[in-house]
Order: sequence, then C-alpha cells, then structure tokens
Amino acid sequence: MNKKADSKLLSVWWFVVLLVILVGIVGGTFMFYSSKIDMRLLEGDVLSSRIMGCIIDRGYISQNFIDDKFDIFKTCNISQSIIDKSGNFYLNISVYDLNSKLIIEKSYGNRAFVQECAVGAAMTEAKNFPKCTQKSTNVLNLKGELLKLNILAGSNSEYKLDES
Amino acid sequence: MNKKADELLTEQIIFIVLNIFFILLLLLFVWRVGTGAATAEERYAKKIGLAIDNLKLGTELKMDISELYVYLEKNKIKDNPVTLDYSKNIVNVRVSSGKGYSFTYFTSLNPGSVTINETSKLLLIKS
Repeated sequence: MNKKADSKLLSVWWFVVLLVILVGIVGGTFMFYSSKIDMRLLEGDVLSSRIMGCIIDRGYISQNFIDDKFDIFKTCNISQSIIDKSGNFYLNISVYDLNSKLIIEKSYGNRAFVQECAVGAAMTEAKNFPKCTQKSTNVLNLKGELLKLNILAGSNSEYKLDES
Repeated sequence: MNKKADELLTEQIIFIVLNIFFILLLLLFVWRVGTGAATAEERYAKKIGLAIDNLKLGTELKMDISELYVYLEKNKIKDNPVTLDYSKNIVNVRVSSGKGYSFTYFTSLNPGSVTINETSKLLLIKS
C-alpha cells in the first residue's frame, strides 16, 4: 500500500475509535443518570401509615369505619382522584375478629395491584410492576373486643410531565 | 502549490475540523449531564412529594432548598424552583431550561399550603 492509502485507512480507523468512545461515554452517562429513584415502597408505607393513624385513635378503631360510614378521603385528607382514578395506587383495609372472621373490607384504587404486587415481589425482572406494603396491628372496638386490622397499600407512581 | 498538495491539505483540514467538532460535542454532552440539575430536580420533587404525604394534619415542615438555588443561578433561571398544581396534586421542580421533574402526591392540600422563603431559601409546607 502507498502512503496516501495508508493515511486514508488510518483516518477511517480513527473515526471508528472515536465512535466507540462516543457510544461508551454516552451510554455510560445515560445509564448512570437515567436510573430512577424508586419511591414506590416508601409511598405505600406512607399511605398505609396515614390510614392507620387516621382510623385508629389510642388503640381503638373508628366505629364509623366498622359501621361503613367512614369517608376515608375526607377524614384522612387524601385525594380521591389520585387514589381512585390515577391507577397508580391501591389500598385495601380489612378488619378481622379473633376467629379470623372478616368484619369489614374496603378497597380503593387499582385492584389489579393485588396480583401485580405478588408478581413484582417474586420476580426481580418485573421492575415496572407496582410495589406493595402490608401492615397489621391489633385494635380494640368500642366494646373492648380485640380485632385485627390489615392494611395493604401499593404504589406504581412515576409521573413525568412530558408523558402527560 | 501543486494539485496533490492542495488535496492533502484539504483532507487534513477536514479531518482536524471533524475531530474538534466531535470532541466539543462530547464535552458539551458530558458537561450538560454532569451539571446534575436533572438528578437534583428528580431528587427534590420526590423528596417534597413524600414530605407532603408524610406530614400530619396541622403540622408544618421547613425544607432547605438552597441547593436548588445554586442550580438556578448556574443555569440563569429566574422562576421559582418549586411549583405546585394543587388541583392535579403535582409538585414540579425546575432548575434547568427543560420542563423540570414532576411528581404526584396523594394528600389533599389547600392552595397556598406550600410557600418559599427566598431570602432563607426554605420551603415551608403546611398540612
């Protein structure tokens, strides 16, 4: 090969090297900065804590909740449109007696989360599935009987302005 | 100068110009991403959203957002770094020229519940 052909080959090779560097740096930078801060478990935890603090008063469960006269959104200061209509949240509150007999159960939001949370917890690949947290505690009713309160709260909230 | 030398010079100039262009492009990209404004927007939007949801009724919370003002000055943005859409339950943090980062909170907040003290660079949340 003569000198000119050598020079041309070197130019092409040089651009290939630059391209590899470009792809590496851009790819690495994007991978680093595009990883999202996952708040789903925290959100579910905050939601269940809010409900727990709202329907339990000094160890006694609200009688209005047992009697199904409880407006959870108004009393707990929660937006109904976000929980019920956004599809990004799920909330299940159930109360059992000592014989594990269901007394009352209320569900709000995206009910598909019950199955999806189980799948998301079982499979590490299911990154986009919602995350749920479950809390249980013993409470008393007005008659002083011991009851078990279960709260399951799930979230899949990841809102970006350009997706609206 | 002869024709062969002319061709060689043109090739070399094009090669050097393309190389400089490539390096500048790469530096610009890394500098843009490396300023950290995008991650700060996401971090603060989520932090504020979670703080709103975690706040008990009748309580107040003050949050230091001075880091956001550093990015505001750096990017020459004059708007408020934190804005809330109370009807849609969205908190938006914007400290760069883009749209910022938005995050939803589930608490029903009254309009004006979140204010910014620009002198002390504190965010005040009243639940």
